[in-house]
Amino acid sequence: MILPPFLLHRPTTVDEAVDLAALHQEEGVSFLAGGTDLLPNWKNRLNNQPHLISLQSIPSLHDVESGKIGALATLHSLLGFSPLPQGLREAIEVVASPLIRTTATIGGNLLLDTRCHFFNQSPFWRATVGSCLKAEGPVCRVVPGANSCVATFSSDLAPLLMAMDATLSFVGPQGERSLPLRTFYQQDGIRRMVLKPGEILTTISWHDDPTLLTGYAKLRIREAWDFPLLGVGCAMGLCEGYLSNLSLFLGAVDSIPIEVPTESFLGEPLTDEAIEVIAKSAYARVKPMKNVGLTPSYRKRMVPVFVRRLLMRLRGDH
Amino acid sequence: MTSKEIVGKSTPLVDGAEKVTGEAVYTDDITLPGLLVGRILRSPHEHAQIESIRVVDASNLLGVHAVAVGADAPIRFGVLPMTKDETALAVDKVVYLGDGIAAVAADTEAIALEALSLIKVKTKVLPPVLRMDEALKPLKDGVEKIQPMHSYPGSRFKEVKQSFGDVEEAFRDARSSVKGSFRFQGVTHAPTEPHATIAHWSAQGRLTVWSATQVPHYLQRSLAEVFELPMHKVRVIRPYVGGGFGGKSDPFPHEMVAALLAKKSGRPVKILFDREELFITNHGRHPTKTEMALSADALGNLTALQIDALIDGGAWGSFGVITSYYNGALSMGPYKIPSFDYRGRRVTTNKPPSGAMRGHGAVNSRYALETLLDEIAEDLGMDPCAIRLQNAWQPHSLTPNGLRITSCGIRECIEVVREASGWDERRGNLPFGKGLGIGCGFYISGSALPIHWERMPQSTVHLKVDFDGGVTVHSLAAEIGQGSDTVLAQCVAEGLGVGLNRIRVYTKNSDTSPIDLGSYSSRVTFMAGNAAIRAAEKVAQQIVAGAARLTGQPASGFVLEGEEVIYAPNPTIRLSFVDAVREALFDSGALHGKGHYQAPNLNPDLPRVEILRGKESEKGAVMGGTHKGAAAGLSPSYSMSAYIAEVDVDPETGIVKVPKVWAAHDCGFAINPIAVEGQIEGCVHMGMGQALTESFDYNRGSGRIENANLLDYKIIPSTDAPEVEVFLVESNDPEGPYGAKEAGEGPLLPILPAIGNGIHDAVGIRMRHLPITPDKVLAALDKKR
Repeated sequence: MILPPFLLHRPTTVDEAVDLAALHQEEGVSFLAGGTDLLPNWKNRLNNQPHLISLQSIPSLHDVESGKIGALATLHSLLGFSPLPQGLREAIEVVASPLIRTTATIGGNLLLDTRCHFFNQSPFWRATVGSCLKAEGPVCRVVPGANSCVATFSSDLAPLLMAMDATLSFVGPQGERSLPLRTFYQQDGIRRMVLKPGEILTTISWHDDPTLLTGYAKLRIREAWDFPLLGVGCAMGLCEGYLSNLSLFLGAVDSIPIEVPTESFLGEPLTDEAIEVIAKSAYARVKPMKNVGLTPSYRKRMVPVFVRRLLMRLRGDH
Repeated sequence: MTSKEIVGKSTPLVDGAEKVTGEAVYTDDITLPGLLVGRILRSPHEHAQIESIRVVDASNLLGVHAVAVGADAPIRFGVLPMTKDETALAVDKVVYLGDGIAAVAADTEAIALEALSLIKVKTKVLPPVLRMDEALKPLKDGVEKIQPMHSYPGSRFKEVKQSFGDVEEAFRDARSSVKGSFRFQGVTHAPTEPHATIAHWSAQGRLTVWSATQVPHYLQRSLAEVFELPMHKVRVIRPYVGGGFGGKSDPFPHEMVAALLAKKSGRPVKILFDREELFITNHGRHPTKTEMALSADALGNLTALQIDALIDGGAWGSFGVITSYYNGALSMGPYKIPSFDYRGRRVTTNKPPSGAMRGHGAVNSRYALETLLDEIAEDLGMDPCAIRLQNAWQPHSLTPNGLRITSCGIRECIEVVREASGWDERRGNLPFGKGLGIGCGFYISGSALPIHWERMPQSTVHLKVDFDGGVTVHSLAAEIGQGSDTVLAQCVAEGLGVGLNRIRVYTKNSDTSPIDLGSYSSRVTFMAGNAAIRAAEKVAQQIVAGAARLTGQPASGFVLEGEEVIYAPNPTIRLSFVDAVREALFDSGALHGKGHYQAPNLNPDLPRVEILRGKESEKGAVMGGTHKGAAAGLSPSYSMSAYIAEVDVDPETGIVKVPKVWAAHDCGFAINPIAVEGQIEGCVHMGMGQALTESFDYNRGSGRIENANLLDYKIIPSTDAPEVEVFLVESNDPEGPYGAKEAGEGPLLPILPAIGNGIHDAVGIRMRHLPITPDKVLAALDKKR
């Protein structure tokens, strides 16, 4: 497969990148971070644009400091950074493969496109079945009759960073803004987020709390390469056995991460019974689609198992 | 020959440095003046009549130099002479989704792709046959037969039956009998290098084709047939090949298309597949439904085996006639089972063709047999190792279906892994979720039956030794990464008593190399190795004659070793290899020697065998019975193996992990132990994929592969690969080169049932559907609870 033709722009400042995007907006623009997902998609003629603005030559986007990470920092480089929350380390270490992580970026992972067996295919393949909603077709091929896309959310880092209540900062034509990551994704497999046209994700930040326990658990068929079939991100505060904080997000079971409500357990001890209730509530909240690997019923069944195991591990069980 | 100096020692592959430094030239690395890019337009339908193809817009596109359609090369070809059902491009109709319709040659890939989009194809879609059960039924009214040239009715491709002894009586009298319905998804080879071919017609009208192939000779034949050329007008060059596994063992349509486009454009044309094309043209292992029953007497002696295998051939014949037999015939070892009944059926469907894949025809039946054997052992209260040892063939046995077993190290294989794994203490005593399972294997060391019934050797090797002291080896045995060039070099170096650095191996060019049938059926070490040894003997005689002349001693007293030619009765009389060579050639020119290999004589009462070999036995014992299909499964020797796998099953998630495998393989003699170990480790890895993760998935019951890429088709990565402890068992085969047998395919067989039986030991379930995905494990555990 060869890439479609495009014009590559290599700005060296964020402002220059924003200006370039505005200039070519009408023709169609895409930003390039690591490109490990974007370029394979382009080869399949998915989302490709006539203009590609590489952010790789913008030094400020590579800055890394405690609790504040430039969007272009590679996943591999973050593993060498200290202090790194344990859960974030766990999430990074299960993304794709070591080779891909040397190129893939934290910002790219958060903006990762959703995935579906009917979408992530070659033009030849899509032509044999007819295009789907997400590829500018007339109907959803997974749920015939559905008028919104149900492609699966596939970022490993997002559920964890949402549990950590991370904040995203953007620069766009209207200037700078910040958003809690928890409000960033929207229920639609196509648009999937509230990023505005021409807007660049610049930093990911979080409140550095060394007492916060964080962890990530991932279901996949193989221990390398695979996108998640379920991801559980958790941040937990335990004060003398009592929960001071608990956030739990599920990835890869819907088009956006799903939050599992936990407020009623705050101030309580994290007992086995409490864990069981949380696990059951997580189970009740998801409805995976038949559009990625393994069966939806299996993936749903794994939700309480993975939630329970992660909570017990963070609680300190062996 | 005194002690062995070269063979038996772990030797880095002679082409290894080129590969790791990037110096090795693969087909896609080759460029020629004026080289064009060829691309193929593929069918979006599983089954459709082609009504018209409009190519004029594509032809008129600037940068397009040729457009080809099926009618340009309508002669049918195929790897087996009896089922030639393929054409370069579809002639009247397409038979699977992805079948080639037209092709273009252009200056660039982008232009070629644009040209394909300008070709207008009008088709009438025909009802497809996609399921095996559907293919068994008579054709519905108005439904067209997929391949009209296939002789069986409807969508059946082949039906074979073999029966020995009284199976019914054996089951009636059995103390224990078990049966099971097994299902196997299709799997594919997924070599690192996709298919790649370059074709060029010289000004004199000779066709040269460079291709990533395991079978240069069969490619040469097919090109000659399709383009109606005498065979010598076709030259095939096999550059370095990046893995085959059986996936490059057919002559392919794209190879014909490259030649066709080159002919039409008058320029060299290259076709390089993308990964999706590799998947959709497949030729991988057949999806299979196997019904099997096995019985034993009260003492644990096996008494009968009944197999009914239904295999999905996809759209073309490929090696399918052989696959149809192998699913039964290769189940007659390594255990003695007096009565045997087999029915094998292969159907044609509108899906990508199935073909030969590592362990061809034997893998799925082996899984079923080894699973049922474990169940019989359980039923009789016997240890699974013990029942296998008790029923194992002795050396020099004849199976009921006429397979001649010579060397046989199966007992040593079982005993060594039993000991190393701590089987006796650990099996059955591990915590819930952890288990040990055993599986054995049995495989041909080259098919004694050649594909073409013609009077020719199966392997020939030429040697040349000249004044420079270098030794040149010529053979068409295809080095595909398995290490065959190194084996040839070792056999020759050993025979001439010289170091490997003198040896230069040329196996790429059909003009200069004598015919070898190619790298399939695990035949190269056995057959080309023997030919190499014989060639070295011929040259050694000439060198000794030179030494005798120079020293005045009788030729019968000389040995070649350590780069010297030594007079054994008085070892102070010795000269260097080079001095002896120079003396030998000064009045004759470079020394030449050739050796060939022909499998032992097939039974002269077999139909048509006299055409092949003549009524008179060439030499050696006659092989095989005279029943229909008797020649399928005949081999000059058989490899044996036994693996034990340690398996972890998470009862809550159903996820299976294999942390450790003890793998014993009887390869007769390891000419290059490090390469044999590599083959075994590779087989464990590949077989584990079929057992646990790999599956050719079709989208919603269609003929459209859903996972035609390496992200969604789940090959096991190194992170999930087990630690493999390899044990080489050397039974010293009486006819093998230095006693060697195959090690390329047989070692794949045991890992699947070892994992399956390990799962049973771990959590008490029997998995009969492969791959064993976590959802299936949980479903089986639910059923048990």
